[in-house]
Amino acid sequence: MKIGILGNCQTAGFVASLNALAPGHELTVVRLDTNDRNGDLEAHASNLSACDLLLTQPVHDAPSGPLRTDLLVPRAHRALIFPAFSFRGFHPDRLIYQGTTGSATRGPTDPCHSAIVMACFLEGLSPQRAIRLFNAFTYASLGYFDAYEGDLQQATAMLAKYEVSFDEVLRRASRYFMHSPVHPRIEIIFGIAKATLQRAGLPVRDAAVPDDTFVEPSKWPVYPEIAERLGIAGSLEFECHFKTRDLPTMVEQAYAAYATWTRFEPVPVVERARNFLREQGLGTPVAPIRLAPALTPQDVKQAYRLILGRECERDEVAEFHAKAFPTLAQLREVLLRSKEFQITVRPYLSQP
Amino acid sequence: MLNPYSGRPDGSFWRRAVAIAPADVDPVGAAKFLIAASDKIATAGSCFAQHISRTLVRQGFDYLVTETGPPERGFGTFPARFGNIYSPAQLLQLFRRAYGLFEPTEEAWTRPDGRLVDPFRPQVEPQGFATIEALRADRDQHLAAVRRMFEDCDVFIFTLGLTEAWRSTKDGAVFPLAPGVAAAPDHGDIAFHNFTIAEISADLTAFMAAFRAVNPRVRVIFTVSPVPLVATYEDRHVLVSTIYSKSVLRVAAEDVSRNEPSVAYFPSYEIVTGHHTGYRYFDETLRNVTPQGVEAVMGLFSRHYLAASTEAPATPVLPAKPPAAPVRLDPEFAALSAIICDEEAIDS
Repeated sequence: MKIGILGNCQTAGFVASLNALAPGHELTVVRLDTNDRNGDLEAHASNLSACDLLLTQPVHDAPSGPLRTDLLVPRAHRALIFPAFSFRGFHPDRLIYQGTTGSATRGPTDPCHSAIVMACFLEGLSPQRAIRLFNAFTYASLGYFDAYEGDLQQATAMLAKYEVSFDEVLRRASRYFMHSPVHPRIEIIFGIAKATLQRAGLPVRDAAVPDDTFVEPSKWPVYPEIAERLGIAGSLEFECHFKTRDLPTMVEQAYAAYATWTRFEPVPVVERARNFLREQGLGTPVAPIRLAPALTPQDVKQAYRLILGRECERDEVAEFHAKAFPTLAQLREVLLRSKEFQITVRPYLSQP
Repeated sequence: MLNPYSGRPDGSFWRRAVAIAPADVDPVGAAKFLIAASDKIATAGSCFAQHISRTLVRQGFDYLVTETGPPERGFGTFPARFGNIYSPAQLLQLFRRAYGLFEPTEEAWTRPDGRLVDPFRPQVEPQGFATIEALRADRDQHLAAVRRMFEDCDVFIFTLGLTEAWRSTKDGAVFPLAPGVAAAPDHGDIAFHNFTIAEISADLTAFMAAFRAVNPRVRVIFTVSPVPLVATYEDRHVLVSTIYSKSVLRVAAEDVSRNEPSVAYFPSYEIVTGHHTGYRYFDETLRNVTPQGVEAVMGLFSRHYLAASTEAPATPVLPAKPPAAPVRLDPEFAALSAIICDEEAIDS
């Protein structure tokens, strides 16, 4: 059988699991986390929908164009949606920060950041104070100790929608079953793959779990107080691109990096941490100029000029985009991936 | 209508519960919970709290010590080397300092011999510290031990001692001793404060909320020290200040424990100062609690709260009359005298 598979970085583990559980099928794989995304999306959509069975994660973002689930599934002979898995319970403090157009967002653990550290910086606390706030009271106050149980319930409910029993999946998983909030260990992906194949009615053999497909260049630690409650090993060693930093080094380097940033987008987990600091009467917020203002219609008009080379057609369009996109980065991405940009501007960019 | 008191138990009636043989007086009532031999127990508070820790150790209970070292340097008296904690404000601030929430401006005071002391535990290090760096290093590892205590204990027993305190006018930091007693700052930004009932209750409530955040399952026992004030800074008689102080602490302990199943009040104060004792549980200073008084308190504590005590509960034995003159110290008393009471230094 020809099987088309579409998904994110978890797709590699899904494919390895499928090959172990149901070998012999002809697979067409498109990954949204690789250069596949920058290729001919329509060609990918055609190849995938030509398969006997399409297995796709839910894809809803506009830049994915014809690979979006609502557009691709109706074109397929037969399609099943399988879940992408995320879980914050081990790393509730970690966030991914992409930043905005033109603003520096580099940091020692780029693109990962600690919400506590970023909040301490924004509230004007010293790096030494930020280091001391890595403790059980802070974690409890920020809900970090509840994150595991909360996400357990979330994940169970989410997987049930795809007829995947999380209890069953966890039975074969190690206690520490995530590399990071969005990178599950192979046992989790294997469990999802097995349930998906069974839902598709394909014969599944009793196979061993394949090797993990994630080679993590960056490892966010499970903080000791959180780890202790979960019965796993804890650490405050931050690995990024195979370089390890202890907590004081990470904090000092993050502070040095943030001092060069010109804008900070509001991020919920950071805002919660800032509120905690204020409730405790700590710190003095740094100059509000560092806080990113909301996108304005003027920003949208300027982006149209710079990226598409024309004026925005109407004020209403600029106002709509200013409300629709929370960050300049997202607006930029949409404009760069638009058909208009691909047709009218991109050809010029590829010329020598 | 029936007399509503007619069905009350004997303990509700003064004649049947207090005006009886002193050894039979038991004001503890039903314990809210029991302490098992496997429970990790931490204690803190005024100097009377040290009697509790000694009894627990002697009876083989798991007395939690998170900061270890030689006893002559103040280790092992309490779980971590924080010395005596007299007021809820001091306890709350210890918690907040341990968790990075409060960084007092006062870091070190200088003794007459030039050595430095930590103003929040001025007597735990007999030699003092030679440098501010040494003081900070010791303080940081001490506060880490305090965090371990709060997070690892199953039972926490806190003895409320005083409402009178000395605190920083800059940030409200509360010190266990007045400036100049053990060491002094080089400025005058410290003032006397006598906490009100509202302040004491608020501090205890805030402490419990914070404590529960890091240790949701902990059981807590509050008790009030029966030891009177060694001196008052109020412009009034020390007896009046003592009764004010103990009354406020007693009410605050009632407030915070009354409706909480896992928070109990243990009547150390009543056992020692109750009418049935005729003040015979105090020695000739009318301040120091005698070994028999301590034994009465701890006997009832063991009987009601220690589920698997390896010792039979002691029966309170009252001396026939107060001792007329100083007597030779027996070993038990010698152990008691090792209790380190910062407050004594005021009157020395």
